[in-house]
Amino acid sequence: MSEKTDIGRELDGVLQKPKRQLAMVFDLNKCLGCHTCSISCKRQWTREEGMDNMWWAVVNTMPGKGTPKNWEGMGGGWDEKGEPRPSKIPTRDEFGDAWKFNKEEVFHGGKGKTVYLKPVNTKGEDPDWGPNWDEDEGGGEYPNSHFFYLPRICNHCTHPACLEACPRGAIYKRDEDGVVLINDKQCKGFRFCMEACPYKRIYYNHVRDVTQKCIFCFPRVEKGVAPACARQCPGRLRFVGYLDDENGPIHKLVHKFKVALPLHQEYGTQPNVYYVPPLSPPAVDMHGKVDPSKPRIPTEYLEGLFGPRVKDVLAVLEAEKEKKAKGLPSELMDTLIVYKWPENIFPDFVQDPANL
Amino acid sequence: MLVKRMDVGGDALGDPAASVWGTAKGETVALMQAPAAMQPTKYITTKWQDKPYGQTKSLTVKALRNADEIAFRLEWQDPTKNEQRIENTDFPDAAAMLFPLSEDAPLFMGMEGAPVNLWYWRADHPSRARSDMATGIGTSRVMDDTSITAKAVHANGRWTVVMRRALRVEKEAASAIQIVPGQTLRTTFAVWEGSNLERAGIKAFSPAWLELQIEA
Repeated sequence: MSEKTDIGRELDGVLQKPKRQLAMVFDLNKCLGCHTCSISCKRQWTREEGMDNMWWAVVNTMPGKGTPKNWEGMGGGWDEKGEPRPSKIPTRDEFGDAWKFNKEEVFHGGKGKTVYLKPVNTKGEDPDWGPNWDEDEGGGEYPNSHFFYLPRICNHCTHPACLEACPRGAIYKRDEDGVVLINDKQCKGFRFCMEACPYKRIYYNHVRDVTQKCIFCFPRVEKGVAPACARQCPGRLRFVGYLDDENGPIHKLVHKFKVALPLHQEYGTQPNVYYVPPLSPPAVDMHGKVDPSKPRIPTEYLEGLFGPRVKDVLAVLEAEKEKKAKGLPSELMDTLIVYKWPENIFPDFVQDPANL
Repeated sequence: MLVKRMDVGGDALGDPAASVWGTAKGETVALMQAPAAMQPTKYITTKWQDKPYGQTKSLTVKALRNADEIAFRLEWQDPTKNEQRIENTDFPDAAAMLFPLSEDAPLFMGMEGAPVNLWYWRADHPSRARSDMATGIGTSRVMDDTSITAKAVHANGRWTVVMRRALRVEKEAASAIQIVPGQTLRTTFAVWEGSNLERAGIKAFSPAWLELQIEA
């Protein structure tokens, strides 16, 4: 059921169906955890006053508590009946805040050999969380300890909880490409979007009193340039394109080979960022004996993130890898390998920003 | 309520502690929780329907005018002073007055074709109030050229806020209430409790118009 409000928006469960939908696929088997994506985004978009604590693109070590800390337990999104799940506004500390360093003292105070760089948060305290505080800790016990990296941005959802929560009608989904944007002239900084987003990818700018988030680099995309996080990624794991482009890698990975899965689909927002789940070496016992029936990263853990299809996807990936190793053709492996950069990874966005 | 003419300077009118306010007869306005069912989005309704909010029971209003200006002095109980906006969960205390810009504008934020003008004061900007216009729930827009000054005091568990403006305004003429001596106006009120994360439609409001007779 839907009702038209006087703000002119369809609310309460009606899907925002744009003409086309831009999407990304992250191949987690390629992520190096180098944070080049986070830094390229930060340099491009979040350098203004009030944005110092913002990381629209982050990379979390999994298993881990993530950014903001314990975001997976905060609620938001939709329950199985399609009703909104109440949630909370993540705090600056939970996001990791912005740290200030005593650079003046170390670099210009003549104490460079005795004083070391030390961060403090906005409250002047020692930080106890950061955008990837539990980096490389991971999970499991020796000799089967394990981790992998999970890059996260705004998912530009088809059923965006942020959009539907906003009392101002300040959030919209673009018809031409499905990019979800916040109109900062209409935003009054009420932060219901921060609550309702189950992925917690929205930040509050306390200087401008508005909320801000990943914009899918729409000014670049409009000029045929890939988003900064994708173009700068040295691991070349971030595929970008339209879901309906049957010749593009996104359609192939999501719909044709069905190896790219959304993160926490059960949150009900229909995310448009997809992940190729990570393969892992087999488990070993204390004597180094390999047990090929057990993967190092427990499949149940991956199912908790990417849903029940993980097992099938990992089997397909293994089988295709096998084929490739034997010299047989595999279109799936060729798609994931990306022989030609940039045309194989974001065919509609190959324009070099340096040439604009 | 009569808005008496007192020929004192604007600075006296604008000061909540000025003795001139002793001469104004106050009115106590009952407030109630803005209904959860009337919130503009289902998320907000679902989140707040079983939670207490809008618990400020009343406010006291006084108003005075001089030759050029009008001032409203609002006073309400609030044991916690919330004036900052640094942490993501900081919501400053706030109060607003609503004036209909057409005869049939509903007191629930007006409607299409029947706008209302809002004077909105918030504790993080204690010395000015914003002038907004709205044509329905969830539609308020900040008008660029604000001309409402404010002065606020928090003492003994109470906020006292004076909002002061020229009777007639030129630049915002289409979006702001024009106040003509001799005329009778209507207004209504809202209060937000910052410590309870109140903002937008999560507030206490006055469900009835208060008539203001502007002394000629």
